[in-house]
Amino acid sequence: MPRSTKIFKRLQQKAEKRRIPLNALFELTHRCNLRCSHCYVDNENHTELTTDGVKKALDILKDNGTFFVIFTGGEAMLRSDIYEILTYAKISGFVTTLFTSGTIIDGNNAERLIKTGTDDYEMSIYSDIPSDHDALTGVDGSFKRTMGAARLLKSLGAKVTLKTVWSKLNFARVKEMYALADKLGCELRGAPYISVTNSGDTAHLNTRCNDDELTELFSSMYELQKERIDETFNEVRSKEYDYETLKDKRICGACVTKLRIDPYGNIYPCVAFGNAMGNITEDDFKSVWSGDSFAKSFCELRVTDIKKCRDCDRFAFCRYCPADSLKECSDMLIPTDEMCRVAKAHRTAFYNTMKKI
Amino acid sequence: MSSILNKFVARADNIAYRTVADEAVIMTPADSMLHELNEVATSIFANINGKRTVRELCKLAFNEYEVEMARLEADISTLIGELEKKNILQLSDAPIN
Ligand code: SF4
Ligand code: SF4
Repeated sequence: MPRSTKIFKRLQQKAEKRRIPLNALFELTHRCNLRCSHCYVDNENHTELTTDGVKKALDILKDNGTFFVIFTGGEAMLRSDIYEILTYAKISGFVTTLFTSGTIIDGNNAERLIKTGTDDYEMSIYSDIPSDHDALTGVDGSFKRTMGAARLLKSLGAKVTLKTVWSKLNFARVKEMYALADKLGCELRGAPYISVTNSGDTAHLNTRCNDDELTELFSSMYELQKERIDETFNEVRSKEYDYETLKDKRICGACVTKLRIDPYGNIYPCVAFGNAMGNITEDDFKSVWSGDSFAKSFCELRVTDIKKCRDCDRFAFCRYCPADSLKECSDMLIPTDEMCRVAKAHRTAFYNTMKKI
Repeated sequence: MSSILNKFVARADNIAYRTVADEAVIMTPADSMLHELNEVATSIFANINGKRTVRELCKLAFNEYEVEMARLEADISTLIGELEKKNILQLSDAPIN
C-alpha cells in the first residue's frame, strides 16, 4: 500500500469514475506447497499461461490503466519464471506486490528476488505460535520458514507486510501478533472475514470467531491504538449511513477498479467473484471489460440498493461483500448473517473502548 | 539554470508510474510515496527517455504550447529540478540508458 493517502484516494476515485481497472490480482499458479484450510483456489492442474502469456496480459493491463498488481498463487514462487515476470512488471511501470508464504525464499534466491525491484512482499501468518500456524498451513516448519524469509528480505532492504485472518486460532493473540510484526519491522494487517470459497467449500467456517471472541478481538485492537481513538471516532462518524451520499456510491470496486486474472488468463470481477468474464490473452479486453453482462449490471448497483443496510447503526463498522452475499444468500443485495455479526461485534468493541476512555 | 538545460534526463530506476485521465501518478520505491503531475507536467514526463536533454524537452514543449521559450526553459528547469529532488528523475552529463 503506497503512502500519501490523499493522492491514493483521488486516484481510486478517478479510476472509479472512468471504470479503469487500476488494481489487478494476478494468480500466477494454483500449485502450492502448503495446504491452508481456508484456501479458495481449486488446485486443479490446467495449463498455466506461459511467460509470454503473462507478459502479454501485463501489456494489456498496462494499456488499460492498471497501476497496482499483486502477484499471488497458489504459491507464485513455484513458477521458475517468477523473477522474469516480476522484473517485466516493474519495467512496465506497475507498483508490484508479491503475495507469498515465503516458505521457498532463502539465501539461495532472496537476492535474485530483491533485484526484481518488487515494491512489497506480503506474507500470511496465522499465529505467533509456530505449531498453531503450522496446523493451519498443514506443513510442519512453515512458520519458521515464513519468518526466516521475512527477516531475510527485510535485511536486504525489502518492504514486507504480514497479513492474517483473525479466527478462533489467534483472536486472543492480538498483542503478541502485533509484537511479532513490530519486532520484524513489518506492518500487520488482518481481518476476521472467513468466507465460503469460490467452489462452495464451507468446512473451514468453523474457525470463525463466535460473538464474544469477535468482541474481544476488536477490543484488543482498539486497546492497542487507544491514543488515536478520537481520530477513529471522527472516521467512524464520517462513514455513518447517509442516503444522499450513498445513493451515488458503488457497493465496491469489483469489475470497476478491480479485477482478478487466474493462472489460465481468465478475468474475474475480483478475488471473491467466481464468474469469469473472458480471457485476457484470447479475448479483446476492452470488449470483455465493457461488454460483460454481469459487470454491466453490477456497475449499476449502488449502496442504497441494499435495503437492509438503510440507516443501520453498524454501517460504519461493516464491510459489505456482495460476492459473499451471492455465495451465502444467492443475492448480492442481501447481507449475510456473518457480515452483520462481525459489524455488531466491531461496533460494541468500539463503543466499549470509548466508554472506558 | 543554464547548466541544467544541457543535462540528459531519465526516469529514476524502479519508479512506478501510470497516466490516469491525462495526469501521471508516480510511486517512488524507497519511501512508497505517491506523487501527482498535472497535465502539462505529464506531457513533459512522457517525453523523458534518458536520451533527451532538458533543452530538447523544452523544444518539444515549445511545439506543443504557445509559451515563450525563455519562460518554458525556466519552468521546465524548475520542474525537472523538483522531480530530481523527489528521486523521480535522474540527471546526467551523458545519455542515460
Ligand atoms: S467487497 Fe467482496 S465483491 Fe467487492 S471487491 Fe471486495 S471481495 Fe470483491
Ligand atoms: S450490519 Fe448488516 S444490515 Fe448493517 S450495514 Fe452491515 S450488512 Fe448491512
